[in-house]
Amino acid sequence: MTRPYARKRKCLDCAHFCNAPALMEDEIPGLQVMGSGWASVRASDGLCGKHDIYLAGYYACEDFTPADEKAA
Amino acid sequence: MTSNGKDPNLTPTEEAWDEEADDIRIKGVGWKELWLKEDWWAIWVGLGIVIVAVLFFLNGGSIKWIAIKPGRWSTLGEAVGHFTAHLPQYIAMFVLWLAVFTVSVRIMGHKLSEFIPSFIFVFVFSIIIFVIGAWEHAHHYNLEPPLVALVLGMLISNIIGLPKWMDTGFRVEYYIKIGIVLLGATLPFTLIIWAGPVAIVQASIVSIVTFMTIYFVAKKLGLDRRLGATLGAGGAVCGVSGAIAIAGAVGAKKEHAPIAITMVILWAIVMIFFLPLVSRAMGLHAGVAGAWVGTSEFADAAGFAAAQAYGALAENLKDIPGKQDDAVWAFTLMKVVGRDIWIGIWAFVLALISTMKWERKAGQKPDAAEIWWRFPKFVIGFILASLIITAISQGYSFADYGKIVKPELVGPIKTLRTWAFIFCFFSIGLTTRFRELASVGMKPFQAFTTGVVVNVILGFILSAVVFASYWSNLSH
Repeated sequence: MTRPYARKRKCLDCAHFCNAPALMEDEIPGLQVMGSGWASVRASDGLCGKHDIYLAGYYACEDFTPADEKAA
Repeated sequence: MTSNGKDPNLTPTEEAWDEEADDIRIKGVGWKELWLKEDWWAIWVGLGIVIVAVLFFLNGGSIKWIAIKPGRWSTLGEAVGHFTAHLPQYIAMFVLWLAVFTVSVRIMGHKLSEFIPSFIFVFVFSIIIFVIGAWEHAHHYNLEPPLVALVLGMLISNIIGLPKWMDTGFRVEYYIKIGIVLLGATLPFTLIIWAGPVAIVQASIVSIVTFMTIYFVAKKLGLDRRLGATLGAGGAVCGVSGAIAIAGAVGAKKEHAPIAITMVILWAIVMIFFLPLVSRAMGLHAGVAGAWVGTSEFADAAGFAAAQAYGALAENLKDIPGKQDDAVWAFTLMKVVGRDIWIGIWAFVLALISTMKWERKAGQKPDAAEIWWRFPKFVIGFILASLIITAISQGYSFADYGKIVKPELVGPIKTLRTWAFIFCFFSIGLTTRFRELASVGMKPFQAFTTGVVVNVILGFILSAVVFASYWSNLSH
């Protein structure tokens, strides 16, 4: 099945992605020392638990899993 | 189709590529950041204080009663006497800070059961730090409040240790952002217009050269390009904030940001002591030293500690030209106007390079709107505070400004700003737990340190030689 104009779901909607500020400060050592999980510069960035990367929420990949599907 | 509109014949991957899906706009925090991000709360709190101060002033009053600070003392009796006489004011100021912080941190999602006792701890020690700094001989022994706060905090956190939950009250960035907004009220807008372009040119030269140095040394050493970019942003743009923004923009590995953050923290702490000490040894004008700190410090909080410390030396020691305001103003112009505000552009450009050149990523391209979302919003509060006070001051002669506006309006705001800074510096020390920082390999250390050396030398040449006349004439 070809889908020439297919668009990927973004990390923000993926079950593997989390960007909660408190979690970011726990998971990224030193972030709170001279930075903050609640800073504007972080925008909607977060951690991908599947690939162990820190990235902007607008990215996407083949391993997208809808958040509600994983919760179910 | 199922009742929710989904095609049950699609596999999860095909569902992900569903061309019928809405073109989902970037979601996440969005405009909710107005009450969920520290940058905006720094504006609400900082501008709120400025506006209340202005309202009192315009009605013949002043907030100076509540903006209390320890006076200079030479005997312990004098210090104790001051507190006895002004205890209700200290209690009132504490209640003001606690009320403001309690509301804001709760809305941002922190636990008040953790924040309140932690902030009480910060406040009590801040009084002690302020008192030490008010000792008449403090400057001769370099017992400047920022340095005392930092060292005391590090001793407590690394030797004695505190429970982890207390971190809730050690909000370094929140305190410094409020301080910067209040600083705007003490910095004439005309100065931003006059010296701002020079700061942007100088800071841009140093930032670009430093970033390129770190990135290409990292590449030569065989490090991942994303790590090189993250290290470069940390060393060249704005420290931890720069590192975390670029890490997200380029999709760095989870361990890249902590490595860059460790390098930033270690070198930022070194520079807090190194830059003022070398400046003092060379007898640099306070404005020149402040500009140098602005190009060669890595984080706002650390830079204010260094600039404020050197400024206090200039104020109290005859062999250092310039005033305290010169150092702090120069630093602010260089770091906030010259470097911080450009982080969104750095992130957008590096995201484009990352997705189009390093690793072609299918899917959404970086959105230029990221330049706004990543913009450090507290700078808006800084500019507005400067505009408001500059506008109020227009109606006064130079003499009347010194006699009326400074003691009744600007002075109390400056006092509250100093409290916010001390909360910040003490929190830096309390959160700098060396055991918990990520370990850094030799190659990232080499790349970052090469950038530090280039940065410090180039920053000095531009501040103390090329643009020295600007930085040593800010007060005029």
